[in-house]
Amino acid sequence: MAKRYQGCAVGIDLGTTYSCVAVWQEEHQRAEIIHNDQGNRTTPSCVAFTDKQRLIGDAAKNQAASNPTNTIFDAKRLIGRKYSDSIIKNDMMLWPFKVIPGVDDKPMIVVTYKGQEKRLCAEEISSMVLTKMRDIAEAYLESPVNNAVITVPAYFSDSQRKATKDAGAIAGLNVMRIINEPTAAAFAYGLDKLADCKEERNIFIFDLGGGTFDVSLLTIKDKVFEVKATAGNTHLGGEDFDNRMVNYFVEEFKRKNNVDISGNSKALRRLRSACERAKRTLSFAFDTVIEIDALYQGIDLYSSLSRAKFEELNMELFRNCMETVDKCLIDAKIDRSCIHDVVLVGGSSRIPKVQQLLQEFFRGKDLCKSINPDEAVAYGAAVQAALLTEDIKKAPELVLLDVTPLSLGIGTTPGDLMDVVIPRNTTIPKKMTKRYTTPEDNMTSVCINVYEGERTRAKDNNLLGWFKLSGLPHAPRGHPLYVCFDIDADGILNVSAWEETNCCRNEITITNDNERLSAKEIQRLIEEAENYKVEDANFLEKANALSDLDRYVYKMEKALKDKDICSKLCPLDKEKIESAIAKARNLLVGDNQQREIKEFENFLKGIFEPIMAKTK
Amino acid sequence: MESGERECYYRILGVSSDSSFQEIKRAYRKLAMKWHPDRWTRNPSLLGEAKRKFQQIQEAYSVLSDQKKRTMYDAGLYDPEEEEDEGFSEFVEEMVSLMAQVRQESMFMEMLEGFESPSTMYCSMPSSSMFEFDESPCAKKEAKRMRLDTSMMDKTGSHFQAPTSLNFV
Repeated sequence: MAKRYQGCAVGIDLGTTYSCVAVWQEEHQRAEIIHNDQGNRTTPSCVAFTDKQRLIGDAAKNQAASNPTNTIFDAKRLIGRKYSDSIIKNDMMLWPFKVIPGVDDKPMIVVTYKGQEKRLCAEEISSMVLTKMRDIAEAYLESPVNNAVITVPAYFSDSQRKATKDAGAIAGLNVMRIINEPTAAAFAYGLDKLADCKEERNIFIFDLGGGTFDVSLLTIKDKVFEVKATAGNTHLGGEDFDNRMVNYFVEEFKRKNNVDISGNSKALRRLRSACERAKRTLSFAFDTVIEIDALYQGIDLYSSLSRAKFEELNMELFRNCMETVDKCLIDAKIDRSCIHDVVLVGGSSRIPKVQQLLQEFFRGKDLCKSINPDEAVAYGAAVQAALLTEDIKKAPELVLLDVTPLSLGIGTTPGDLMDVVIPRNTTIPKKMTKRYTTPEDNMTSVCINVYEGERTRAKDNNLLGWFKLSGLPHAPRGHPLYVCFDIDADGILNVSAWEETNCCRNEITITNDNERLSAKEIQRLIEEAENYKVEDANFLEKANALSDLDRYVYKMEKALKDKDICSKLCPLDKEKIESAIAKARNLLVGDNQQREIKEFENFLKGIFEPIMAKTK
Repeated sequence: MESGERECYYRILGVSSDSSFQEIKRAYRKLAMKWHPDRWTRNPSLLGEAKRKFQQIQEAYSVLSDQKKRTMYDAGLYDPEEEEDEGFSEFVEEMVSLMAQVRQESMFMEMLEGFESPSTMYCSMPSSSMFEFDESPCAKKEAKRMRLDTSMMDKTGSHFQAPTSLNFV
C-alpha cells in the first residue's frame, strides 16, 4: 500500500470558480503561489470549446459571453453527484450549458467541439482544469510535475472525494492525498502566523468560497494541528449570491421592459458577469451601478444596487452560514469564548455583512484577515504535499490530525436504522470494531451495507458499498458477529466482518462502487485527455505557422513597395513574387494542415530570397 | 485476535492512571507527532506499523480524554465494542463518586473510632445520601442498575445491552 512520491509535488486548490496552485520551496522554507501565463495567481475553473480549439482558464472565461453554451464552469457542483439530485436540478436552470443524464444517472455535459457534439462528465472538466494547473506549475518549475495534493471542501462526501481523485488521475497526476480546504488554510495560517506556538490555540476557520462553505475548528500546539470538528454546506458560496442578484435583475428587467431574458443564455451570461463585478464592488463601496448595453432585444440594462439591497437579497444565505458555525462549535464541545483566532478564507469572506455577522457571533472578536483568502488553501496543500514527498528533506515539522466529516456506519434491522460505527469528527486513521448479533434463528448469511451520513434511516444516507458474510454456523438469533471499520490517513475505508469463532470472514475496501469511474474508464479518459492535449498542441502549432507565413508575406509585400528595391527588380521576378503572394493569401484564409503551411513558407523563401539577393 | 486482550490505555500513552487531563493531552500530542503515518512516508516499510500504532494511541486518547469514558474505563466497565450509553455512564460516575465517598467516610469513621469522639456530626450525612440514592425516582437509572447487577455477577462487567441486530439478506 505504501506509495513513494518522488520529484516535484504541488498543492492544488481546485475551486468551484477559481483554482490556485502552489509549491513548497525548500530553500526558502515557505510555499510559493504560482502565477499563470496571464500573470494571475488564481485561474478560473472554466473550460471552453469552440469550433477550432479548447480553452482552459482565463482564455475560456474571457470568451464566455460570446460562447455561453460551450463554456463550462461549476463542474465542482456536479462532481460525484447524481443527475436526479435536486441540487443539480436547481443549478441547471441557471447554467447556460446543457446537462443530460448518462449511464447510472451520472450527469453529462453536452458541448459542441469542432462542430461535433461531445458528452463530458464532470471529472473530465475538472481534469482539464487540473491539467492547466499542472502546466502552470511545470512552466514555473521548469520540470515535470507528477504528484499533487488536491483540496476538497471538508463537507464533500466520499463519492465527491473519489470523483475528484479520478479527475486527478485523468489529468495524469498521482493524487498523493485529498485534503480538506479549511484544514489546508489552517496550515497556511499556523505556519505563517503562529510559528512554533507554545500555548494551545483554538483556531476557527471560516471558508466561504465561490461554491462551497466550510468551517473547521482546530487546536494548534507544538506543531500538532488537531481538527476538532468540521461542518459545512457543499452548495453555498459566491455563485449563490450571484444567482440571487441575477434573479433580482431578471425580475426588474421584466417589470420595466416587459421582456423575459431568462431563456437567453447569452444575456444571462452577461448579466451574471456584471452581477459578479457588482458584488465585488459592494465589498468596499456602498452602492454600485450595473450597465449592460443592449442586453436583450436592443434594450439596455441600466440599474443600481446598494449594499443594503445586496445584503437583503442574500440574508437568508448569510444566516445559513452562521447556523453552520454554531453547529461546528457544538460538535467540538468548545465554547465560542474559547476561540483564539477566527480566520477568514475564500473570496466571499470579504463580504462586509458576513464579517459583521461572524464578529457578532464571536462577541466582537477581531477577525483575522492577515492571510490571503484566495491563496491560503493552495498554500496549505503545498505544505501537505511537501510532508508527503520523499525528496524534500527539510519539510516543515508538522503533523495534521484530520477527522471524518460524516458519520460512517451500517444498516441494521429492524427498521433499516443507521448504526454509526465511526461518528463524524473522529480523528483518522481510525479503527473501530463493533459487536452485532444475528436477527433470526439459523441464518447462514448476513448482508452488510456500509453508509455515510447523519440520517437516522439508513437508506437516507449515502450507500458506500455492501458485502455478504456467509457460512455462518447454525445458531439461534443473537449470535454474535463483529464488524470492523478501518480508515487510513488517506480516508480510505476498509470494512471487514467476521463471526465470533472466526469460522467465516469477509471484507471490502470501499474504493470502487458503481458510481465511480472504473479503472478501464479512467484509462479511456486519460487517452482522451491526451488526444485533447495533442489537438491543442496541433492547433497552437498551426496558429504559429499561419502567423509565420503571414509575417513573411507581409515582408514580401513591404519589399515590393520599397522604391529602392523595386527599381532593382526585373519585371519577371516582380510578377513571380506577386503571384506567390496571391497564393499565400489564399492559403492563409483556407483550412489547411500545418505541414502544408510550413512547406509553402519554405517554397516562398525559395523564390523570394534569391531574388532579394540579386537586389543587394 | 481483534477482540483479544487489549493493552492498557494508560500504558499506551505512557502516563500514570492518576494523570491530569493536561498530562494526557501532552503525551498524546507527542506520540501523535511520532506515530502519525504522514511522518513515516520516507520509511514506507514501517507505514503499516505506524498506522496501527497511531490507531491504538488514538483509541486510548479518545477514551482517556473524555471524563465519562475514562470513569467507565477506570471502573473496568468500558467496552469499545459496545454502544455508548449516556445514562449508564452517568450512573457509573455517580456510583464511583459514591464509592469514593463511602471509602472516605469509612476512613473517617475509623479515625473517629480511634479518637472516640462524639458521633453527632457524621451520623446524618452519609445516611442521607445513601437514602437519596435508593429512592431515586429515575426509572431509567433503576433499569441500568439492574443490568449492571446481573452483568457484574456473571460476566465481570462487560456486556450490558442486547447489541443491535444486523440487516440480513
